[in-house]
This record gives sequence, structure tokens and C-alpha cells, in this order.
Amino acid sequence: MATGCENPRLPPEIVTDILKRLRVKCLIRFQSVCKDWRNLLNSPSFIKEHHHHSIHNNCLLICHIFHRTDGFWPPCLLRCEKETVEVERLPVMDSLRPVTELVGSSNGLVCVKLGYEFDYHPRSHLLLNPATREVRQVPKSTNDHGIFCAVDSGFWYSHVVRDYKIVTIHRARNPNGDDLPCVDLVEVFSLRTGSWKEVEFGIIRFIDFNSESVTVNGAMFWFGRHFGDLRGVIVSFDLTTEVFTLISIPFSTSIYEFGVYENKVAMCLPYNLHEYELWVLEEGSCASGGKSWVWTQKYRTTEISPLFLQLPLLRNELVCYSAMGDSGFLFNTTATSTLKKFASSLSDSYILGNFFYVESLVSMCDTYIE
Amino acid sequence: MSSSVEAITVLSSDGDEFKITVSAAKLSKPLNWMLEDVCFSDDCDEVPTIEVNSKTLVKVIEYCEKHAPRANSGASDSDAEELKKWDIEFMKMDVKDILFHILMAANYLHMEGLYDLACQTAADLMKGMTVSQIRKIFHIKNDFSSEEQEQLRRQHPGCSFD
Repeated sequence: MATGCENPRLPPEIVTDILKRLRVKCLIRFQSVCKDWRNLLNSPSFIKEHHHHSIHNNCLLICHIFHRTDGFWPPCLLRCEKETVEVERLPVMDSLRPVTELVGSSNGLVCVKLGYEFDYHPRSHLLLNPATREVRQVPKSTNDHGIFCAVDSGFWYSHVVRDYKIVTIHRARNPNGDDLPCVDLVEVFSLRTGSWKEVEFGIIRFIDFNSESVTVNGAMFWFGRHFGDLRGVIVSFDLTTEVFTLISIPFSTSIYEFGVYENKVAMCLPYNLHEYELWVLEEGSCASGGKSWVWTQKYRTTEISPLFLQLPLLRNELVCYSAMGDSGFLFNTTATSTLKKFASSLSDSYILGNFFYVESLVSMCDTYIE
Repeated sequence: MSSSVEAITVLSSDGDEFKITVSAAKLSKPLNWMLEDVCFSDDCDEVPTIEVNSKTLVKVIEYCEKHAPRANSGASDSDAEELKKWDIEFMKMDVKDILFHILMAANYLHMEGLYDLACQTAADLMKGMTVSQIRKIFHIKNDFSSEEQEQLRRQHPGCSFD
């Protein structure tokens, strides 16, 4: 071993443990240190290790912010530190033509939509890794000729089939300009095959979709309502079998927020004027061997004023909302069901779409296995 | 010897003697094994050697002694907060020349907390370094040809490789 103060040579496993703590920007730069490092930083095992470390240590939110004076900002990141929330711009997003919708975020890859629906110009999907700046245009579906408009969509990685999928739910356009109120087409794009295909959607034909998608354990979920009545319903889409399921909601959902809590689908509802309660959807098994779903109340809180309408549920313990556009707050709910207030630089803005985001080296070229 | 021993003596790789309390030694599995050997063997005269140089061992023992009360009894949030601050100060000292030795020692002694702390400190330091500074501290020779370097630049337009 070297004597005195000289740095010892570190074995490769220690070098890996240090490098996996670095941000992607640094890692891209450090590829030019030597061939060994370049090979390490491009190896699937390192990419996976780096990603896992980031999930547990650097989970961010990617969101679409509407600012009262600036209008839409290109999607940017929210970094939640101990007591503050920092906004971080993404250069690659700033360079794109207007991003009009965040579709989803999975393993560091983000799916966005460009263009506007009312243009009658088909909107296009783009897949990108904002950290490595890899961008890929998603080919247009053969059905994409202006007859349909998308009402909702989602993007996620399926561990079972090892593929990234984009799901879009369409309605036919009414020539009079109003969209017809039922689902007319559902398409799924597979990154692996590079193409779109239609899937069976009969069960959701008369559902009005009211939320962004959330993805939990290989299935996408939306909150919707049956046409003609106010009953809320959860729509789930299994990314492996590509089958829709409807899950009923046993409580009133005239006012609600929909999101993920402790890796489960969750809803936050007003209980009375001053109290909110959080319900989570848990998977049970039924006698026939199939799946059944159980709603469990997690807690009730008195600290949210009902004046605050927008309240997307975020990461395990984080509830975020902007209060009537006056200011932005983030709350950290703890097991004791108290809410901690966070300072935020997000005043005067509404958070529209938001997803968990973890910076990663994952590339669209090799389908990544988590 | 009885198990009421409060501290044991160990030798560094340079041959210097160090005392470490029993509760502090429990932070490391290998140290704990040595401790049991010393406490329960008849051959009490033997002083175990730890393959870590004196300068590094001083720091490792300092870390163990500081963290031992919390590791052994659990602590309140305010203690944890205080300990975090202490860790930051602890890592500020002589980091450039001793950090990699601490990393090796923490790895060899299976001290997860110290290992994570040292890895994070190294990563934080590297953020601000140029590629040639990185090569220097890791004893790495640049084995890229100028064409290969040019290729990297082309693959990542807009990224700096200095």
C-alpha cells in the first residue's frame, strides 16, 4: 500500500459506489476519464445501480407549471429539500417546440406531447431522457388523421414484458366541434416494436376521464365518472395483459384528489368542512382466484383548509398543492397525520401535470430492466 | 478475561497501539470479532493488528466513538440532527489526502455508515473537478486517442469533457 498521504488506488467496487452517487451530467463528463470508466458508465449493471441509488436518494417531481403571468413553463423539475422546494429548469425541454402535455415519467425517461389539440394538426409524442438529452420521436399512429382526439394518456415501463408503453384514449371528433362523449379508440405504443396497436376498450366506452394517469405495480390508473351519473370510478389498465378493469368507489367523490400514496392508488376527500381523509386502494385476493380491491382509510386530517382546491398527492409522504393560484405549498404528511408546511418558490402558479422523476442514464436504445 | 472489558488495544498497520472502547468497536463486524477473541481467549497477550495506517485509524476510531452511543441505544431526532452536523465537520478535515484511506478502511471494517459518508463526500468533491484532476486522484492514465475523444464529444453535443 502507498505510504503516508498519497491516495491509495481504490478497487473497482468502491469506485462504482462513489460514481453511482453522482448526477448524470457529471457522469457523462467522466466518460472521458479512461476507457474503463467509459465502459463502466455505459454498462447495464452500472446504469441499474445508479438508478436504484437515485430512486432512494434523489426522487424529484417533473411537472408542468402554469404561471399566472408567464403562462406555461416548459416541464421542469421540483427538488424537495428539507424545508424548501426548488425549481430546476431542463435545458432539453426549453429547446423543444411547446410541450403541451406531460404524459408520464418512468426510469428517467419522460413522454411528452407537442402541439395543440385544437389545431386539428395531429399532436405528436416525444420520448426523452432529459438528463442525457436523448430524444426520440414516436411514430404517428395510422389512426392519427384528425378524426380522433386524445382524452387521456399514460406512459410507463412494464417489468413483466420489459417494454415501455404509451397508452392513449381517444374520442371521435364531432364535426360540429364538440367532442362526442364516449371513448372510440384506445391505442398502445410499444417502444420495443416501435409501433402502435389498438386494444379492446368496451368496458370504458362510457367513462369520462377526470385525472392524469398514475402507475402503480405495472398498471395504470385513472379516475373517471360514468356518463349520466356522478359516481366516481377507478379505471385500471394492466400494462402486461393490456386489459381494462373498473374498480368501484364506495364513497362520494364530488370533490376529490387522486394520486399515489405509499405506492398505492390514493384519494384525498373532504370529510366535512374542515377535515380531509385519505383512502388507499389495496389489492386483495378473492375466492375465485382473481383480484379484488379494497379501500382502506389511512388518516383524517384537519389541517388542510377546504379553500385549497388543487391537491395532487405525490410521493409517499408528500402532498402538494397550489392554493387558488395565490401561492404554492408543499406539505409533508407523516405517519402521525400532521402536515408540515414547506416554503416554495412556486408562487402565482398552478401545477398541472406532475410525475415522479429520477435522473438516470437509461437509454431508449436498450430496453432497460429494472 | 471477563466480558466486563471496557476497551481493547489494537495495532495499526504502522505498529502503533490504539485503544478502542467495546461499544465503539461494535460498529464494525470484524472489530467485534476481534473483540470477542480478545475477551474470551486464554491467550490475552496478543494484540490484534488492523490493516489500517495510524493516521486513518485515528479518524476511524474517532468516528466509532462518536457514533457508538447512538448505534447502541438509539437516539432522538435532535441527536440524529446533531450527529449529521458532526459528520459534515468530521469529513471536512484533511479530506484530500485521507479520504480514500478512510474509504478503504470503512470497506475493510464493514462500517456501512462511515463508508456511505465517505463515498458521498468523495462524490461531492468530484462534482467540481476537471477530468484531469479526476485522473490524478484516481491514478488513471488517459488511454483515449484524440479520435476517440472527438467521438465522445460528437455523441454528447453540448457537454463539456474538460
